[in-house]
Amino acid sequence: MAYPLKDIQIPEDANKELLIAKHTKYLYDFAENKDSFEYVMTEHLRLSGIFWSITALDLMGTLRDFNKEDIIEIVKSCQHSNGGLSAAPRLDSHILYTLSGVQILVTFDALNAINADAVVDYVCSLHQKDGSFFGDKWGEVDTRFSLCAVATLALLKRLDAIDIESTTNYILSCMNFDGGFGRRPHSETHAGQVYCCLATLSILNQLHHVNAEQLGWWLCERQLPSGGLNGRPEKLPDACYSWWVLTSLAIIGKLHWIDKDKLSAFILACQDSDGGIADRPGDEVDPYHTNFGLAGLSLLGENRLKKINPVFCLCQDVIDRLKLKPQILDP
Amino acid sequence: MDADLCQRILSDLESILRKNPLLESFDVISSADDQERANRSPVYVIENHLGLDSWCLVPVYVAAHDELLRTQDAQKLLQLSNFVLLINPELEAGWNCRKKLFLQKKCSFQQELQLSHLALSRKPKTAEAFFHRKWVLSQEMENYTLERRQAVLHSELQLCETMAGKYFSNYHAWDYRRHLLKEYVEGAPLIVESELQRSKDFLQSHVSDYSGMSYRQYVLLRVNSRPLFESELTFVSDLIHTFPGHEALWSHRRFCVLANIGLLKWAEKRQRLILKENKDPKRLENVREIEQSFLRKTLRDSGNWQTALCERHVRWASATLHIDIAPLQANGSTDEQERPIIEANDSD
Ligand SMILES: [Zn+2]
Repeated sequence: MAYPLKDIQIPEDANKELLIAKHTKYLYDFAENKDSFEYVMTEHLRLSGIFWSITALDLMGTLRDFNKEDIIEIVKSCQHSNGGLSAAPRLDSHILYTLSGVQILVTFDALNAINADAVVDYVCSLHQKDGSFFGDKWGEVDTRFSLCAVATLALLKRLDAIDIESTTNYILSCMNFDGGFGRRPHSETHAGQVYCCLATLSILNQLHHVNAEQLGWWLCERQLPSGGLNGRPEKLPDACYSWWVLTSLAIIGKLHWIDKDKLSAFILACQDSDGGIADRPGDEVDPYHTNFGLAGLSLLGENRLKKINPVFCLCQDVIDRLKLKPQILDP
Repeated sequence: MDADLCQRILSDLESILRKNPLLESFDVISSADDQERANRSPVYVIENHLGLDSWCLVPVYVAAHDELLRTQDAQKLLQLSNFVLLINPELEAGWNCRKKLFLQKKCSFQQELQLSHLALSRKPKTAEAFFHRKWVLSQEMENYTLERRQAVLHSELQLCETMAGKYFSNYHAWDYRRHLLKEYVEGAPLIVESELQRSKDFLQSHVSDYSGMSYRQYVLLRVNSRPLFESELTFVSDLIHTFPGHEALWSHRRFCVLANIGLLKWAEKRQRLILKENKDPKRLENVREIEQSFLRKTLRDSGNWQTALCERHVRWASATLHIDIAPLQANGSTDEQERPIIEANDSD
């Protein structure tokens, strides 16, 4: 009898070596290619796209020649009069891209390029009475936005600007019976949201509220026989969940609950021989999956990559320079 | 592409949307040959379906996207955002522009529902389009009579059902449906009843869709009746035997087990579901017996993946409820291991 396990088979001839030179070239070429239709279609993600590329390059130790001055100018041009940043200069400010911009600037140690006080005001203006955060002035609420707000303030050393208790309580109100977290109260548990909520609690030093045993089980049940991780029951494995799931396990001290060799083989198999990482072996590559695939390999201890910080998704040396010490639970 | 042609396409689209309030879906079609191209507009309607010839997608999008972010003219903004959002509904700036126009009364409630519906019909999991509906509803619903609110609620629930059917485990569709139930059910108690039945029908025909089950859990908890939780446990037991190897059903079972022994409760203060500390050893022993006999029956006829899911269930019960289920009659309990067994494969 056939069983409906949703998984993939890693091809025999899949890549088994980490292709650092190829990925570097892919990301440099991607940054140059501004004439494609895809470039127009992804304008609303631009600042995050830059963040994924530079973090991937930084992890590989090949960020040196990337166009630092130009990028700082772009980030600068994305700040609006309300203090928030948008994905591209002519779009509207949003908390998602405010964090991306700040992450880029701290990587380059160039926070003085923007008005940081105005960023803090913007973040505070989105904080609601119940402790949740709007994404922008139109009022959508999502635990992702809580992380964006809290991480932005932490990187700017301004966590004092918000009320920690209500922020924590809102995150806890999104906890489910499986120990995981969703987008809003009663929303389904989703590995991406689990990461956002854990990282928020970590920055606020509130991880003692988490049921690490139960959540740890749910997270490591995301690993499929192929070695890859999915983000929810019966979804296909995807290289980006190597980050969302794995870093969640790292934050709660349960990284060793995953079969590391199999996951590593899965991520390596998602590499394209011409550079870049895809969601699954053989699919189209993009900077998003390239970054999170590499970030996952870094967490797994790949020694050709720099160490990544599980909470901020930035190289550990950047976090050390800022002297930040987000909470991580003991194994 | 020359500016006149581009403008004509945008105007055609606008007038089609205006004249056809009941359009059901939108898609980009690549069939038109040169002959066809010359004879008709690239925007057309066939039996309530809106089509766009693929040849004009790139040039019109590039021009419209650029102008949308530059112009201030309300009439133009409407035309441009129609096109841009149908093609790229993830562009938040486009929906923001529509919200501003809506507040200026330059477009109607119906227009916004129509545009976001058509965009979702092509990309059914777009969070930005669901949020746009949530936002326009928040602007309008309180001004409506109860009757009209109910009509809107019914059609919104239907839209969620359609989008859930189009895309597996559609997180945003189910989340929007939960939002509707939270915000607009007052004065319409029968809706919760009917959602109970509809979510059951959906579950039965989508046994791997945990998002749908997660929504059903929300409805079950709203009704919050012991007999209901009991019958749900029987229901999911049957489904696990009929459709072996579905992780979603096993996850739903966990909910049923907890709900059945009263461990899930709305915590009023935080408005969330808490897992209560259990104080009743008799109940737990009862659960242990039920789960044990269920697993023994399941393991009698099962393949690798179903077996792996059984073993996970044993570990879950041990980690969550601190009860030891012995699914194998012969050699007692399964070995405690450091992590779930994942060695199953789909070839058997
Ligand atoms: Zn992915």
